[in-house]
Amino acid sequence: MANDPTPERSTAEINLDKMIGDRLKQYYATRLSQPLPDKFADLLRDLANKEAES
Amino acid sequence: MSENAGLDWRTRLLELLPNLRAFANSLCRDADYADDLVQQTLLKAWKSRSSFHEGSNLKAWLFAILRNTFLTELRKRKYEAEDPDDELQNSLTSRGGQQAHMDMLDFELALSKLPQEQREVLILVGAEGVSYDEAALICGCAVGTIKSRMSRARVRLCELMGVVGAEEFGPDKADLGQNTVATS
Repeated sequence: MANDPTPERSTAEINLDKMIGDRLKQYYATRLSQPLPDKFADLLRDLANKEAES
Repeated sequence: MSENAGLDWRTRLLELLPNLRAFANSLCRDADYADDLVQQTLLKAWKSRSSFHEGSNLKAWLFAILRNTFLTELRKRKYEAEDPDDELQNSLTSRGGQQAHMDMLDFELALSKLPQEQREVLILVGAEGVSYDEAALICGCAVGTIKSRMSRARVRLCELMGVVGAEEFGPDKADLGQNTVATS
């Protein structure tokens, strides 16, 4: 039939999207899990302290 | 603004720090510069918090500040975001004659080669898990534009990795001891 859908291709595309998604999450997870240096908390604490004093 | 309000704001910013830092790292791929971006974002967010509408999305608001800061600096400093030191390329070359199968180095290299606007959408939607609406808010464009960038990013990513199907992912078949189909 001329207008047959191509289910195999769709499945492959879905798998491809899933694989890309998995890699993206893996890539991002390594960045999310990096330990935070103290400087950010220090900066926010200083800002909060200055504000409280004023 | 009361002291408690300041503390509350501080706590909320602290909670989102890992996400801000991960997004900054993904945008500029330079750890020191990413930290600078986060610091600038925190300062701007602190100073302009009266312009944040309570009940709206704080993460999207912060991400938008960070992204705008990055793009402003990018224009100002003409910072080369596309793998400036060929670090990823060199690391790939040093692996020797492996097949170009999909591992993290291949993936990171391909990701680094994407146009910035496509890369950020992939990261936001595909990794950070924000909705298309939130991504549009962060990037200051229409939802349709985000969807279109997402679609183009996927296609380009596959092109860059030379992937034509899901079976291309994973370890070498030879490594798994699978026989190659004889063609003769």
